[in-house]
Amino acid sequence: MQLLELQRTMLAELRQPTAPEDNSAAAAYLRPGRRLSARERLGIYHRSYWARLRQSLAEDFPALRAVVGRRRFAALLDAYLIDHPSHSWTLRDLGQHLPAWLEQHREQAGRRWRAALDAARLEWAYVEAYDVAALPPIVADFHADSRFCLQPHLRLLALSSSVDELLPAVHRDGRTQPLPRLRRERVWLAVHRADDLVYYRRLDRIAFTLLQSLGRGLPLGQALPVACAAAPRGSSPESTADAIHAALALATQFGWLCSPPDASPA
Amino acid sequence: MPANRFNGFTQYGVGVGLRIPHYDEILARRPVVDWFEIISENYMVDGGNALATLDRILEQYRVVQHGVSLYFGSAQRLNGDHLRRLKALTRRTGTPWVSDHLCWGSVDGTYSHDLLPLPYTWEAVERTAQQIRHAQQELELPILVENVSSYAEFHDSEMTEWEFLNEVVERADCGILLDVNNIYVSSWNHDFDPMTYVNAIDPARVGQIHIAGHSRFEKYRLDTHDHPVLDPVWKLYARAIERVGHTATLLEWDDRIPPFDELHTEALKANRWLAAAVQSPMAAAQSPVAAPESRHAAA
Ligand SMILES: [Fe+2]
Repeated sequence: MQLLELQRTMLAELRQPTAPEDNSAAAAYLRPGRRLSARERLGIYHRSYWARLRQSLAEDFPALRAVVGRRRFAALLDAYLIDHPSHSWTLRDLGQHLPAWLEQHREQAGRRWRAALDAARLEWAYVEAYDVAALPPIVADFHADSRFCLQPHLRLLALSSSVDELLPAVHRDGRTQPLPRLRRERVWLAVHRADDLVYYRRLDRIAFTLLQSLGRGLPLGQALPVACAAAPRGSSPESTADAIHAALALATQFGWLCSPPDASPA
Repeated sequence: MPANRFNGFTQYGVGVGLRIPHYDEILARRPVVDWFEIISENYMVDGGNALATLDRILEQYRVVQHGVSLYFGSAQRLNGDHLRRLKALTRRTGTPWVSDHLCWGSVDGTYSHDLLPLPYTWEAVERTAQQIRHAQQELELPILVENVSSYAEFHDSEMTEWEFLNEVVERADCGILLDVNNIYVSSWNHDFDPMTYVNAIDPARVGQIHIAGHSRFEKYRLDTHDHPVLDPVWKLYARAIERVGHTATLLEWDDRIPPFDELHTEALKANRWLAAAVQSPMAAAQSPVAAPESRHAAA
């Protein structure tokens, strides 16, 4: 068998969810040993393949596991891995499609699909915020035509439950306290990195919308009305203006605003 | 004096793998360690804690890069993005060499994240050597290729594993990272004499040695890196040092990781054999298996 064909055959067998001991063409290309058959030999690699990928996802998505439960989580991971095997040299990227996949596979999460989706999105944002690049922040001079790009490690998430309260609890080692109960509520969250640690910070809807609009490349003059439109019904112009100022101050304090790639150097 | 062309770093002595559970202790206490081996892929990122910690380690320690997913033996081309990131990291660490495994692990862009065994065929020799040569050119650093533990053998194989390793490194003109624990594990699983393997390796190409622990199951041995080094592995190490001379040595311990001092003490046991090797640096020449005539032998 040519090398490429052999490798295609073997990896296809490793990716099967059923153990090769039950059904495999291993004997066609592997020699039996004195103590193990060809299928049993392939079985060692098969167990190792599945164990490694499952463990990697389990480490990255402990809140998702807490939301859907241990048994459902195990089945969900296997279904995901069949659809999305690793296409990267690093296991760090393995869960990158999980939020979008879960959106399409509601049946995998059961009753708590929305909270599960929130957890998956939050945990993938954590993975990204942990090690993506940091750009030098700018001390912004705010004009109507000012444009920014957002700090690459900043992720903005609109969630429908309080999963952000769950995450610190599932990350705590040797947890003895029961997990906090999830509440249904709108949460606008900034996931970002400071001093090499990842933090979650709840935002109000105005700040969230303003940052989102700036991140989409709108100049400040166009982003402001979009953000103001997100103010709660009945807000006074003064309270909306205060919220805008607070949002810009927060973004400056955490270094979330950077020069857009096409900006000429100051 | 370097033991060979791929072993110009004999002063490196005994290193240990840099692992996350030890970060805080190493940075707080700054223990004396000859060098640290890092898993390259863990630091091929654009920012964050891993890189920041690595930079602090680099302020005080020598770091050598060991990779786990270049997959020289994969039938298709090496991943260009991987090579570029790896090269950038080598510039950051100043690693004197880069190692990865004699195995395959990906096909058609799908990754197994495992060190899968190769059929020992001439086609695989050519393909693997070609990819190592390419990586060596791209990285502009010597590559040491490591023998893996294996649990399967192919009908197609045309030679022994040690013949395959020697053929690959000769054609690729690269060095060897000899893992004596992997030799032991594979010898048990495939019923060959591990000493035959150690005696057959071209000593002029060995630039680093791995020692590690493994797990024993009823029907096979598994390379788990979660135990102290076992006696038969120390015997292979002793023989390797006798043949190769003083060689940078690293203890691998990746699971159920003990406290740093315990790990380091286990690694430093290697000094017993290294100390003896210093007194006879040309030990390789006394090997009962003649080192092949080689244009590479002189350093
Ligand atoms: Fe090794």
